[in-house]
Amino acid sequence: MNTDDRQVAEILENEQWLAANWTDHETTSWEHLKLRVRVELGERWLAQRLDSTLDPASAELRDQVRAAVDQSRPQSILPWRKAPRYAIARLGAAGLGLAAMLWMGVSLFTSHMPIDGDAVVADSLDDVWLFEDESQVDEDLFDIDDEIAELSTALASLDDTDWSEESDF
Amino acid sequence: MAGLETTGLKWQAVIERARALDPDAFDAIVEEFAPRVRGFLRRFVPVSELDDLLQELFLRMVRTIATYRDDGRFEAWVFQIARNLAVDHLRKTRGGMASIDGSDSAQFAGETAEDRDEAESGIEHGETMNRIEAALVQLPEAEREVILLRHFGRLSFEEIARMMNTPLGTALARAHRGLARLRSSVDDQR
Repeated sequence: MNTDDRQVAEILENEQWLAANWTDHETTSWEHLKLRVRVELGERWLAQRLDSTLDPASAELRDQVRAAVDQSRPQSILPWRKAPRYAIARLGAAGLGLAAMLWMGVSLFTSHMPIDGDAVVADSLDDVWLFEDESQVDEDLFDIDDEIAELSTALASLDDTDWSEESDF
Repeated sequence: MAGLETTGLKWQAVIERARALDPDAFDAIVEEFAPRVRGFLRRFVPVSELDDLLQELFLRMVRTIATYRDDGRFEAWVFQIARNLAVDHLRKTRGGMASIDGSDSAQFAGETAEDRDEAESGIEHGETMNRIEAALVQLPEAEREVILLRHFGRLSFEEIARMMNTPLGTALARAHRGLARLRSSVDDQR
């Protein structure tokens, strides 16, 4: 046996050893692959039928079918909702909403703050203070008390007066 | 190993129907070649990209089957497409000129072992198979390619030489050296 024959014999022997000891136990299902191939076959079949049509009426139908097939393919452009302009619009609307909420919050907060440090917003007439400070109120009350005291004194003196002697009428 | 050669008449009919775009014929082709092509490609590309490449192979077959010259070597045609896909993939991932022959097998050495564990968890492998896998990734790329094309593709050395654009003697020498190294490596690990 020459070198080449020996070489080939050794190759075949080692290949048999490899085949006996190395087996890929693939348990993969190929159904998804078959399905994809069938889709491709279907599209090619349809394309061939459309191209072979010579009748004008059928040609119009062919164009309609082609247009429908093209529309059903996934579009490469972004969906409208993902367009940059829409993102900017959404951002602007969110900003306006936030600004409105902040403005309302500030308005509510400031509306409960006294405009003048000495004045108090009254919730009812009972709470209305007519005077700027309580010292004036107290002073007025003392004035009233004085008047009442004077009137009491005057009444007392009237009781003591002999009306039979004094008559200006 | 049963191959197309031993069932030539059956496959002749299948191929004729496939050229007519018969879906059932392509089902048979997928059943026969998907495991073999996957086994071949798995030694050149990451598992994560394997299914995409496999799908691309069969879609290319559908698109170009009309150009297949029915010379009885359908396997060679299928594995030529597979080899082209592997080369294209290597070119994309590594940039510039890339070929299976000149590629660094070490890149996929660790990946292949890990991806194999990941992809085939639950499947029992004998110790010898694991040793063969480990030894295979250590082989020079060209020797490994010849062994894989013979094992999965069941191609003749003439077809392999034509595919790799090398003389027949070079293809034989690569097979001889690679298989001897492989077997020796596995025996040494015992």
